[in-house]
Amino acid sequence: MDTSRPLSTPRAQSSLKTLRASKQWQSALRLFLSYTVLLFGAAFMLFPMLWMLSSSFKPTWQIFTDPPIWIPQEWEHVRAGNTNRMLSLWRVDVDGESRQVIEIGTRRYTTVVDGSLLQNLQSIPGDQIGEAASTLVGTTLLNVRPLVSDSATQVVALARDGDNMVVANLSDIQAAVSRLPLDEVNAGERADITVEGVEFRGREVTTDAGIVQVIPLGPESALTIVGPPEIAADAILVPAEQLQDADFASIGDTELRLSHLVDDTSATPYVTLSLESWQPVINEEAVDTLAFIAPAQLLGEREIVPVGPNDVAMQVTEYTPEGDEAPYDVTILISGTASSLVIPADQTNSLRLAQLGGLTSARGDSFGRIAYRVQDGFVEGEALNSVALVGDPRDMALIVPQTAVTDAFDVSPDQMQRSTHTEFRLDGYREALETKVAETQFPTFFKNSFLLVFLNCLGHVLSCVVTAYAFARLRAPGKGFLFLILLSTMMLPFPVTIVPLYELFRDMGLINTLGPLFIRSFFGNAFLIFMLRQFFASIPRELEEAARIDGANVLQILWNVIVPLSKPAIATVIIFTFWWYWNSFLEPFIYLSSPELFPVSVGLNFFKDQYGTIYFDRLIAASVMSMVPMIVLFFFAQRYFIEGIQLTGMKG
Amino acid sequence: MAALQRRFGLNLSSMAGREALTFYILILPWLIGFIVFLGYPMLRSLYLSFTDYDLLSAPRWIGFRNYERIFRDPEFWQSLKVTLIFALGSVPGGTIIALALAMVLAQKLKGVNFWRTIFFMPSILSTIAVSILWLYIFKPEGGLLNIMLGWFGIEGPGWIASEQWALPALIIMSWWNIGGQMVIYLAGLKGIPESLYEAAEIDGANGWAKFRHVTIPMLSPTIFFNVVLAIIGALQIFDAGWVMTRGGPNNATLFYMINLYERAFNFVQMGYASALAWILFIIIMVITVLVFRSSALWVFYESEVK
Repeated sequence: MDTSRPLSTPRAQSSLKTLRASKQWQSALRLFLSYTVLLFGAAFMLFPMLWMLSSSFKPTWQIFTDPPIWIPQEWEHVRAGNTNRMLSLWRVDVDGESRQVIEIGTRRYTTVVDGSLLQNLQSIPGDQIGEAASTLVGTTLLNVRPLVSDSATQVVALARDGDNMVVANLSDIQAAVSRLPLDEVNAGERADITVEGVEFRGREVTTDAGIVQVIPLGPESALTIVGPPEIAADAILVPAEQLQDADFASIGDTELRLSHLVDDTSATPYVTLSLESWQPVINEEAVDTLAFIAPAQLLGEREIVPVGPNDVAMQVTEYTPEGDEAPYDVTILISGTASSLVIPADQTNSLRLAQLGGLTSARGDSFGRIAYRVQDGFVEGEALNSVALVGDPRDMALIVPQTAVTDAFDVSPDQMQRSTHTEFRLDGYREALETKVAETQFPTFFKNSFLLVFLNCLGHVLSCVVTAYAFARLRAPGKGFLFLILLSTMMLPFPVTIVPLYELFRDMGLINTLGPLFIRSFFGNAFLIFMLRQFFASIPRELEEAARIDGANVLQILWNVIVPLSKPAIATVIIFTFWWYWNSFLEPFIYLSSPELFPVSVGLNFFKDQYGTIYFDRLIAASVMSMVPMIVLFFFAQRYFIEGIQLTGMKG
Repeated sequence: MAALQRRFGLNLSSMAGREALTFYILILPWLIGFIVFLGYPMLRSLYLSFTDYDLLSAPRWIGFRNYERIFRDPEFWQSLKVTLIFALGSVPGGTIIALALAMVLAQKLKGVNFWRTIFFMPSILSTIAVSILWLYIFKPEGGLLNIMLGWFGIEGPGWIASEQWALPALIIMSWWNIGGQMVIYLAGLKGIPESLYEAAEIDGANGWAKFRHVTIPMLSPTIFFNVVLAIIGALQIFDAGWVMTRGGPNNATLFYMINLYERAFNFVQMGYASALAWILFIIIMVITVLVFRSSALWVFYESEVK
């Protein structure tokens, strides 16, 4: 081969160019592939963690939505008048503008066909008809099906006829269908309608056109009337039985039902915002301090009267104390056969009504032998109160005068979306810290974990430094053999010692104490001894000589020379110990049975078993909190983690 | 003391003798710990494995009956199968992912430390918290994974609620934990002398050939060592299985250690559990020895060339 041939010939230059181009192309490809791998890897590693972090700030309902809500949101509410009822705020698009509204009323509709206008019925085998699709015909929704044989022909199924379906052509039925309010259809008299020999079950309904016999077809639909949130300010709460149906007010394509109050001579029309069960509640504190148990024989006739500044209807009776005290009126909070929980009638300032839906997580409590329920964290405006559920719930209506309902309009419910704002909610964290897990709370678990970590670190540092120094520096017969044993114990699977260790610690009386979880650390750890030995071996011997000549003993040399030089290695021992014992689960799980001794890992699992399917937000928040110490340690000491791992993983 | 001196031929008044004495005093804590907390328990558990023992009454010698019962117990075979499948999925998959990430990071890209932090972080976190996280990601209804699969028109399986998919779910989760391996491979890759690649290039090796003939052989001792550790770890998996599925559904994730734990601490069959522990111990030793033996075929030790 002629090596002296210059590269400057045109041919060589061009091939060099292609070579360079292909090299460039190759390195671009490689860079692209590299970053693809990195991004996929990072997504796999980082995404679950970010999701978890974000979920820890969400209310429970938001954690498992489809599509996922990435940034925590909070539902928005407006207070109804001066009640403690919060009305949901919704968002509706009106002419491209998003408006915040409250729901004022909803009317349900169904599609019916006028029996007298029905014609040209056919009976077709069911398998000849395709899937139904809800289709808007004029202003009416209809379930329309294509024919399998001829998809251009669309029919509407009216009834079953054995395996066949009685259908009408869409074009024939179009003029006969209309949308009627569901309540009116259901209120109509039943009527059997026979068309072309087919019998239908229909209803007789009064419409603008007079009395017609209709066949309900479905599908059902609804129209919701919404209005500006300011309407809520005028809301008042009245007992449901005081409402009297009046006429309708027309709004858009639908109507709003109006009512009068029974005793209202001015016949002011009202609009009903909600009709719900409301529960009398009283501050738990008032029960604790003012209520008492009255035997039935000391109580007089009962009467239901409005009580307290909020006029809550409660049973009131006269109480005759034993002794000389004069009788006085009491309100019965919880009624029992032998005795009742009562409170003096003039001590009922905090008695009020609360909508039952807000009291769903009430806990049981008892006063003497009388059981009642208490809702903690009941939201009233800005305040969170503990309230006792007393008396009997009753149906109440939240109403506003029709005059207050301005700018109302109708929308289909599927166009309404809950109004939300971004909010990083800390309730999950707060509740996770406060929730009692078998009389123990999370801070106790953290305290236990830190204590365990501290004791193990202390044990490991003391025992491993000494042993490692001996293996690194001192000569003795049998050392090589012992070092081999030390190394081999690193590979030894620990399950084989589980049972005898349990037995051993039981004999020492240490079951259900922290003992078994840290004592062994004071007797060294093969991995850490090996790591320290490697480090000590790299320290020049000369540094010790001076101290030795000065007459220092081994411990003095260790303390004055080796330890100051080995701070990074000792830091690694501490960090690894922290890592292992913060996360260790099986051993504490085996040895501990009292929750007040649990470290975080076992406590978290315990919490999960008890509440994992209810309090998602709390469990996720608790998980995040359990990770925080490790993550903080990692960011401050990443170098030690990585160097420690490299040191032991690079053998071979 | 005199006996000790004769036995080891030591003279404690000499320098060497004093040094040896110091050595033994210094390692005494470890030596005691080794005997009390490792040596004795191992022998004790071997003995217990031949007994019927409920912790309350004295162990009763029953010969090989525990072992006979174990080998006839379908739960044992199920747990062995599940654990081996887990190891077969988790170890090679994890090794490949760790190796791929390490190789990419070894190419002098920008922000190596940043990427390394991201990949390493999951492996420092508590298995319990991580399991709770993945429990929710694998949730069949509303879980993040199935929602995201839905975007591609895939109807996700029931994952941990499904007999068929619970084990794959746990395997996938185990790949989240490869940060430690990756860090080790990265360090190993950086330790390969540049000159070897240059030499290969002069010989006309392309990217794949360099990987095949330089990277893999040079890294094989490290890979080997970590594969052994990963296998030992995978065969002893407990935490994740316990938190996520507790062996279910229908024993589909009944890991060996879960079975052992339940025998020992729920049924208090300490003899039976000791026998299970010894079988696991032997299985791990056999696999380790097999891997060591096979290593001659695929692990390249530099000293061989010298």
